[in-house]
Amino acid sequence: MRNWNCRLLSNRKIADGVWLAAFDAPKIAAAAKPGQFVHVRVPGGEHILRRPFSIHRVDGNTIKVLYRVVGAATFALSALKAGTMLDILGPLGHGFPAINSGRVILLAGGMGVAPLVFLAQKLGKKRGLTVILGAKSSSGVLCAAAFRETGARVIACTEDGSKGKQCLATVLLENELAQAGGKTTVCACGPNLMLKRAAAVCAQFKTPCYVSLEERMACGIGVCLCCPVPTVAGYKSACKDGPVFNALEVAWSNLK
Amino acid sequence: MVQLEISIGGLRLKNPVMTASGTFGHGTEFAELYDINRLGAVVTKTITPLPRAGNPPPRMAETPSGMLNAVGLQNGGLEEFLKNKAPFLRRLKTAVVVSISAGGPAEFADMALAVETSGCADALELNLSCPNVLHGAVKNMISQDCGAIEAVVSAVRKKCGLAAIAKLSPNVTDITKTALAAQNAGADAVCLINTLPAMSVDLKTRKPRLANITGGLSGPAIKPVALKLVWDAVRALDIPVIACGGITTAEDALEFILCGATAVEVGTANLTNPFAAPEILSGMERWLRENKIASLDELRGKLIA
Repeated sequence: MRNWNCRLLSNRKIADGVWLAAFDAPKIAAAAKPGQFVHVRVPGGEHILRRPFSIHRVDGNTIKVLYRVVGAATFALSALKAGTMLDILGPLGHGFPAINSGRVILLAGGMGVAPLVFLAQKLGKKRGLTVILGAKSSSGVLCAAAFRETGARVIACTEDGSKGKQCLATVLLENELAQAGGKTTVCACGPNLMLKRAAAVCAQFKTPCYVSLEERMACGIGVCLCCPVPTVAGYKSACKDGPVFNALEVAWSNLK
Repeated sequence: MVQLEISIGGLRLKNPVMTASGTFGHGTEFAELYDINRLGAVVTKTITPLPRAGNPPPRMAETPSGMLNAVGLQNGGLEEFLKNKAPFLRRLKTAVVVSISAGGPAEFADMALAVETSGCADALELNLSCPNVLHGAVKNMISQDCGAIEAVVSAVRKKCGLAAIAKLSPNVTDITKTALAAQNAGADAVCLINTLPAMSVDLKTRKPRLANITGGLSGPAIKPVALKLVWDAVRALDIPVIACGGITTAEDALEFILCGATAVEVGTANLTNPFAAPEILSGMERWLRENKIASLDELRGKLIA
């Protein structure tokens, strides 16, 4: 972990309110593991804290982050032009564990695709990889092409039925696990409610499940204790102990 | 060569840049980034006699030029500190100030003695002012009650020989009264200010942004408040005042020195820029050199007013 002065290479809108930024960050690109994040100082305005973003892709010396414009800082980020130098701390946190055998299912709810594209990139074609994309409606189904490029089978569903089956993503997960024989590992990112349900489904099938959790962060390096995640062993920090946790470790009833 | 050395009680610090408790952990994370021995002192995250789970999330909300926190003194307790944190602190080549909090004077004194005996601390900071931890029937901070300040400081003084710094709250009618209470009870220095009790509300959800509802405000937003209180306290006290509150740049630190502060604590800036403390130190040296000032003493308390 270190901080680096990185050049913004491109920054463009890829869906309604969703942007993709690419940075020239060779040191971060070389060290990054799927599920880790970068902590970005966004210049300007009244915000003082960095903003944490999952590492979305690594292509050579380039890292990409996928972000939704939700407030002043992400709005300011979306206005930055290629060439801008940014202070980036990373890679930070603990990502997904190495998965050496069996098939893998990635479960993404909405923006939950952010860390999972990098994971799919790393897992590559050799893992029988299935990606389940869930969203409220079709415009929220993101990155299907990027997942397909890695050789994954992609299935989508929406709550309003505007794309794929009309159901919750965890219903598709349950179907997949019911059909699957042999060892399977599930890696998930998305709204807490979805992750909670996914953890329950995986527990029922005795399938290992890793979840990437989100909490408001300040320092990003485990000193301020502002981003607690309730676990069976008490609060842990999303930034340092996570953001990826074994689903069995999370105290789901205490997670809002 | 600029002269930056300062004294707090019998303790000499090689420079006046300290870290604010709660923003620096116990130093291990920052030691991976730079040589923390360059700093004047490392002030550790407050420990309490027993482990504390802390408050539920969300614990943090950003506000204009500042942030609110309601961590609630999450820590592993004294025993865990002595076992897991003290060995690292003992190896540091700069001053270590261990921040402690407890339920009352006797508990504070026992903690102080245990920390002194462990040999990992050069001084203590008595956290009398965490806005997320309230005491007694009237639910206030120790540092809102002059009698309680005196009781804690003198109990620690009787049992422990380490320099003691009283960390005080800005949320009082008259800072000189609480600062004098600390001084009269034997504190070697006061540190001000701790965070300001504050709130943030989300109109859309009609909910507070912190699960604890209220929290402590820190960051650049509170610097003007801290400057005023340091200015007030310096003129009333004989003991050193350590300034804390929104210090983000070398210029911020020097403004507090100009108002009479002996040293500064860098807090929230550590969270936004992990290199803030050493950058403030080298920036202070540079500024003094450029302005042909050989010693901080030439600047300290020299506000033209």
